[in-house]
Amino acid sequence: MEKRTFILKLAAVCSLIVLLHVAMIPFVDGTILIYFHKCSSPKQHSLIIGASRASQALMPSVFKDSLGIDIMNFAFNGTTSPYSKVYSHAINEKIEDNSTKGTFILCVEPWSIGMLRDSITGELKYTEEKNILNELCFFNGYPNVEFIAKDYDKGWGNIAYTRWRKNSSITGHEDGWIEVMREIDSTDIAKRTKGKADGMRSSLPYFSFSTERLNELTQLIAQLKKHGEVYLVRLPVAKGIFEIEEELNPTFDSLITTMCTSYNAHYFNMQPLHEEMVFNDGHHINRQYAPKCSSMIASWIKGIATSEKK
Amino acid sequence: MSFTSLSFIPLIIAVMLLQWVVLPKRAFFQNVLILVSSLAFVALSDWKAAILIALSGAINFVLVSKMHTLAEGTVKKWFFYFGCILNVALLSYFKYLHDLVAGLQSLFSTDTFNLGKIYLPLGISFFTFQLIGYWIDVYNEETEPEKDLFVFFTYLFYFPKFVSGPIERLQNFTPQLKSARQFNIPQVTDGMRQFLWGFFKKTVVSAHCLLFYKSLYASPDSMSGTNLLLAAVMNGIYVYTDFSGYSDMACGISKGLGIRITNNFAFPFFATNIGEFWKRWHISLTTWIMTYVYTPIAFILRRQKKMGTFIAIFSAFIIVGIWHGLKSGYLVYGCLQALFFLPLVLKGGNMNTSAGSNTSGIVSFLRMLALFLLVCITALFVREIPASQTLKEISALLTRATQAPDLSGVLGVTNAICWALIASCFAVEWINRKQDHGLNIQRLTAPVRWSFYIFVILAIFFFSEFPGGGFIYAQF
Repeated sequence: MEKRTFILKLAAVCSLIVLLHVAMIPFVDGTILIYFHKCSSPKQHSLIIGASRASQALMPSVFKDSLGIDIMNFAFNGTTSPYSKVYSHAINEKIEDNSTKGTFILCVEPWSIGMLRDSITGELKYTEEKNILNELCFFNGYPNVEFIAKDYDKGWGNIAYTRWRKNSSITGHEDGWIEVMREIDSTDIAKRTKGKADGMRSSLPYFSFSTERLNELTQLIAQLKKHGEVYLVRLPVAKGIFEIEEELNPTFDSLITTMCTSYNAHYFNMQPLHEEMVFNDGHHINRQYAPKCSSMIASWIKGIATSEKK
Repeated sequence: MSFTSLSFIPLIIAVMLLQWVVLPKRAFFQNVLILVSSLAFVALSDWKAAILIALSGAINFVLVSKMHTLAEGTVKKWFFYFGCILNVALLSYFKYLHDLVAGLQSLFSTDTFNLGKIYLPLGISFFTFQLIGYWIDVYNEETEPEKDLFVFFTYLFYFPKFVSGPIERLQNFTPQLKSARQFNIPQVTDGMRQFLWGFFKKTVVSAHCLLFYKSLYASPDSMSGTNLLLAAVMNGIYVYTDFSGYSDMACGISKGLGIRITNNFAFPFFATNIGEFWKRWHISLTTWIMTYVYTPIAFILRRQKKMGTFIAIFSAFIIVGIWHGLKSGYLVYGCLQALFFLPLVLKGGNMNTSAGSNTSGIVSFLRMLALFLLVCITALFVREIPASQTLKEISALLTRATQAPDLSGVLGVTNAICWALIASCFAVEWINRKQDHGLNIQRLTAPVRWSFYIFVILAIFFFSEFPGGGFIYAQF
């Protein structure tokens, strides 16, 4: 066989493999990659920002019904989207450049403005730098092939296989809301809450408040103010988890309140309402209570808008 | 950058196209390409390691050339010792100092000397062993010192072998750089087959074994003996398919570039005795240890007969253990491997002995199975877990043997397919056990070959996993 024929045959086989991969792209959705829609939607005027609590508790559809706004839930999780340069960059990429009347709901908690240290070396851990938002160049446009290539950690044939098997327990909806299919079972919840609280408590010695993250948050608020109204929300958590958070940062509320006053933003601490919610593990609101939580926030925003009009 | 990462694909395609299509067919251009792409690969993976190795490589190059000019005698001998100690010191600082201090602190229950975490350069063990071997070979006049720094650097940085070996001897490698490589279709095709097989082993078999291991090993303090045994087997297969998968990919890429490097594995799980196993497992390390540790010690202690042989074997396997790191588990692993040789030594054999099985098929199979289980159980020591914890697990394996197993995490339709893929990996390797790699199927007809290719490609397409973290032996 000649070299030329060999290379042509090889190119044909490679093209076939590439085609097989391309054929899988239409099958990707929020059951395959839970953050797919967050990074495959067009640029937005309004965003929900935060970590996993926000991604599971705040339903854009509720805000659309109550406030009449199209808002995308652009919250990820604690290691991917703590307040940081990486997350701020992603948010800036996601906002429509000329938007001025947007609504931005920023969920805050001690963990997302805290920093973990290595237990041996004491080095600060910038977890977000090893996550998908730091690897992406493109945050918008359907389908975001770069996102699939960098975030999907299986062979692409598994995309079709998983869709066919239909056994996903987490769904990322088109509006960015993450739905965790978990039923309310008090024994199960108590077990998971204990596990979560133990985990959080064991990480307490290595976690500390970060002025660097707080600065990122303040800069982000200042930036978002150019695009519309900014609302900060502390989502409720179970009592035991709240106590750990108080140990982590006892002045958290006053800190956020002061910051909001200086930047003319609004702050809603929902912790006193924690008994009205059911949590999957003490800090993620159960999907059945997400509409209630979202609607409470929507009412609060509506109240502010009405009083400002007066 | 790993062979399975997305960023590696453009690099390897560009290198292949440049070498075989664009550049003139002259050794100089081919070597420049290899060195530049190797430097890019190493720098993109760990730029600090690239600088360190360039510095260390240059110093070793100069010192070895200088040693070669010295007349035989004490000065040359001390110069040689100095060179070897220099390399051992470098390796010790980066790889062993932290573990040593941590071990001593734990022994004396103190934390006075907290060194923090010492940076571990990528590929340092493989690179240092190659340099020490080079010093010894030049000192023993088994090879001339390399005169061309450019060729020497190409040897050190050569990207297919940089991260996890094989530990290549200079005299086996550099002659291939002296003349232009020709495009050889059978060799390139075979390289692609070997790469494909390595990719399958790493991303399908090894990845699922790791998942199964994690699932079976969920609660080591209370799990059943069956769970522990299955977890040990999964861990053993995981280590084998991860490392041999890497080695197959490295050899495959290298064949594609027209350069042959040592095959690091020869189906070790089909061995029927420990001597044969070590001739098939991590071949380049075993060869290095045989050449530079076992043989000299056995020669010095030749009058001690069996005791001398055993001391030589024991020393060799202590080095094998320490090569992984300075942790109690690695040391126990080395000692156990040496102990397994004891019956062989008592019978008058040595580390070179591997034959001795003129037995029937069923007996060979049972021996193979017993050795496989032994290897898997002892491989539990090659983990980050302290040896005491592993010992507890091994004793629990026997005491909790009758406890009901919990296999819920490894059952189901998808897992059943993955079990079948793991089994098929061994079946294919058994069919090709007399070849130099698991997918060397050139001897078969085209339709059969293509059936194999399609099976492997589809298995990768549907069931591969890329969880990150790279290859297990990159940490050593």
